[in-house]
Amino acid sequence: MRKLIKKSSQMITSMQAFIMLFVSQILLNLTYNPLMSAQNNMWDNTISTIVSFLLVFLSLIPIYLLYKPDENNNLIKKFTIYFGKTGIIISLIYALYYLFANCYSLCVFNIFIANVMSPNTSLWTVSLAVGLTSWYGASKGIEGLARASFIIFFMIIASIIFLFCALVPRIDKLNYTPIEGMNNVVSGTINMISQNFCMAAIVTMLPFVKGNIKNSIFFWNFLSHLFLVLIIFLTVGSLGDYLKTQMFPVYTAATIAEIGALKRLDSIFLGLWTTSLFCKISLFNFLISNIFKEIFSKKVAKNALMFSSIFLIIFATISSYNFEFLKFLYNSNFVFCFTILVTVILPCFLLCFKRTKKV
Amino acid sequence: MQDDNKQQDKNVNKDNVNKDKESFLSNSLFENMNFLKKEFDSSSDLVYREFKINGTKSAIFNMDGLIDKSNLAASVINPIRKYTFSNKSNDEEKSPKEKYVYIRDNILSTADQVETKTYDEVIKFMTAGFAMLCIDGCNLILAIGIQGFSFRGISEPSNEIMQRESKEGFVEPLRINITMVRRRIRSPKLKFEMMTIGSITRTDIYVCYLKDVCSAGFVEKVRKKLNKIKISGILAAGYITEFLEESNNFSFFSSIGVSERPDTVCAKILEGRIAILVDGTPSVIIVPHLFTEYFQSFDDYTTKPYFATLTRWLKYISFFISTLLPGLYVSTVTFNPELLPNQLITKIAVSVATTPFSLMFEALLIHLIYEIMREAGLRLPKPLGHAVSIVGGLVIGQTAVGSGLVGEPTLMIVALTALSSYVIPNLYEPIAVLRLIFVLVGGIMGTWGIMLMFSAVLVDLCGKANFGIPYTSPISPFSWFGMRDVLIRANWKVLSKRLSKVQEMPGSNLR
Repeated sequence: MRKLIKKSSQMITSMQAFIMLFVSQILLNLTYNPLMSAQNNMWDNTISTIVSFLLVFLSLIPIYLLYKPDENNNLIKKFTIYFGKTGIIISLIYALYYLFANCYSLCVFNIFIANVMSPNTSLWTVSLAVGLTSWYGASKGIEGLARASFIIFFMIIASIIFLFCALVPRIDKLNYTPIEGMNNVVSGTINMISQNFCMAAIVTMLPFVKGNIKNSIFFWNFLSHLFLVLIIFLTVGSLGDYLKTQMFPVYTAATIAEIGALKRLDSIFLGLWTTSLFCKISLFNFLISNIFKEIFSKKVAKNALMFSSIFLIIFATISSYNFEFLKFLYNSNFVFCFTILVTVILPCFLLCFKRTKKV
Repeated sequence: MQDDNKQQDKNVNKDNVNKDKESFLSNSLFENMNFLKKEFDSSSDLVYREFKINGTKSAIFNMDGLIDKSNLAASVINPIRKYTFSNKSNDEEKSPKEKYVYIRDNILSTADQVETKTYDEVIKFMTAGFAMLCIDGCNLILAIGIQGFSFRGISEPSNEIMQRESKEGFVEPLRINITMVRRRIRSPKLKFEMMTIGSITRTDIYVCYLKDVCSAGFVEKVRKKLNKIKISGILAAGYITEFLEESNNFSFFSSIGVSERPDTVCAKILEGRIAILVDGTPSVIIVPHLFTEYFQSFDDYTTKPYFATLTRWLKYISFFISTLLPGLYVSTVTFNPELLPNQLITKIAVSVATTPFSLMFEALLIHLIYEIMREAGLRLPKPLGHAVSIVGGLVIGQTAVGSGLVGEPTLMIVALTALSSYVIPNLYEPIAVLRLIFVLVGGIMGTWGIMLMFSAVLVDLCGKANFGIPYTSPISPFSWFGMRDVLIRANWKVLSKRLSKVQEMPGSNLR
């Protein structure tokens, strides 16, 4: 029953995997907005960050327990081995989730470009550019993406230090108001977890990783949440009540920052966002093609990559033009449920099945 | 009986017709000569001289212009003639084969002699400048190495000028290039393996490596790739490089290095790389070539480490300036002028307002003019090159700005970009193309477009590997040990402690 699959020829180290996930996760941090969960006190979300850190950590345990005894096969393969055709449908749910996450990220970027950066730019141009480059990125394989993410990581760290230095003088401690209530904390946590698409990436990525996976997952989770706390601290401190009306608080904070001759640092913010978006969509595209490769064949995987990129371009553009549809589709509760389904419910179900049937 | 003879004649004729290059030589001098004449289609540079060695018909044939005639006379013809006169009576009982062996072992005074058995070998040696001694009745032909043809003298390579090092550069003849490498690495572990590539040109190439330093698996991989090359002719090293790349995927950058300097090639061989010397070209191929090597030069290792580090950083900065600056300039001024200080943006705005074209078009136009001037300067004879500079610099530059066709800031940006691109001349090709792409992307999409394109180029770089070694190693995958010669140039006391082998780079599977 069990097919022994050869360990992939494309392998990355656990450090590379952690950095790649961190770079992809930056997207959540840069675009984080408490308004998405119908609350307006961003400072309360520092508690949400701690809760989110713990919950993400707990939800990754079943995935790790499933992976460890059989490192060559990822969850997708295990589903198909244990459940046959039903397993293929479950695998396709993961592919759908990755596609959904890509569309979500591109839509947010589209909205930003259309409303803030350059309203004259056609959203088709934006989607086409992002879609094509990330198609190219995915086709280069996980090794190329991991190596590129490593270099981007250092660029991000340098930019963050730059932004930090520019924003610290603008911090006003009066902006840090006492925490208002648990409702904000809960909705903030739901908002954070729902947008934590990288958790689901871990499900299918692990067989490509060699080295100490436990540590790398812990550091990824810890550092990405720490980074979010830092972002919240900086934006709340420098913007105060002004951020309650802002769609992209981090961007607004970057626009008021200045160092020397540089008047605004929003181009740094945009640079960070674009590179992170590229890494994330490329990684998820790669994972989609990998799912199809595992279920079907290499040729199907290539076609799947092409179709997922085309779908991403068309769907993200059309939905970006329709704000009501966007609000309906990317409702925080729905995204949260979908994320929980692929990162917690399905792995736990498989784990229980394995334990009870002792396969 | 007559019928038998006729049958034999028929068979001989049939054999002649069916004879191909790989068949063995005939005993008959006449047949052998006929075959060669037919093969070369009585080409005028096929020269032969017939004579007798104590009653046995013999001949020497060679390609005109490829041999040293005085050497032929002194080392081959004269000794044979002397032998003929002095051994006339003793020699009559010897068979042609015995005469051949005696001449080969005792008469000829040349060092390089090869026995050939097939027509293919004969053609190969003849076209390589050997004189062929053929004796009637013997099915062997002796190839005598007396090559001599005029070639360009050893001089400093104009593409890789160094300040303090050797002024020697590789030349076109392969043998001289080999001696230049051997003179620098006097180790018996230095190996040269000969191969012939090109179905028509039959170009000799040498695979050169240091045994024990270069892994056997790596040498085997290179051998396999070279053997797989199916091409009619190799006239330059560049013909082979594309066959040595890892895959058919498109990439802006090359993972094959080329150098005209023997010292550079030797340094690479010492690091476990493989050099491929191609006959007829002064460029030597080095595999694998990593991205960081574009920023290293031989001068770095003879100057003080702090200065070498400074020049290396200048090269990195120049790379980014020459690739990204025009695109960033166009995107910032077009989409985000608020990022620039007021005084600067005012000046740029005035310039943009007085010129008829958009900034993107203006930048593309100046780049195009610059590339045309550069191309013209490269191909023209030197005296005319000055005229191009005058026309380019004074006429086009001054008048374009004076007439208000292009703005001064744009011209300055392009000039700075052009200057920076010459700091790393080996990267000129990808830089020139990427620069134009970045200008286009910056003009259409703005900063985010540039960052997106930058990410794609980064993945292109990082996704590359050659012979199992990641192209961006040791930056990504990262290694502290490898970084001692990347962002800084550590001093020789540190560098000499442990040899940096290319197969020990992080991410390498060439162990």
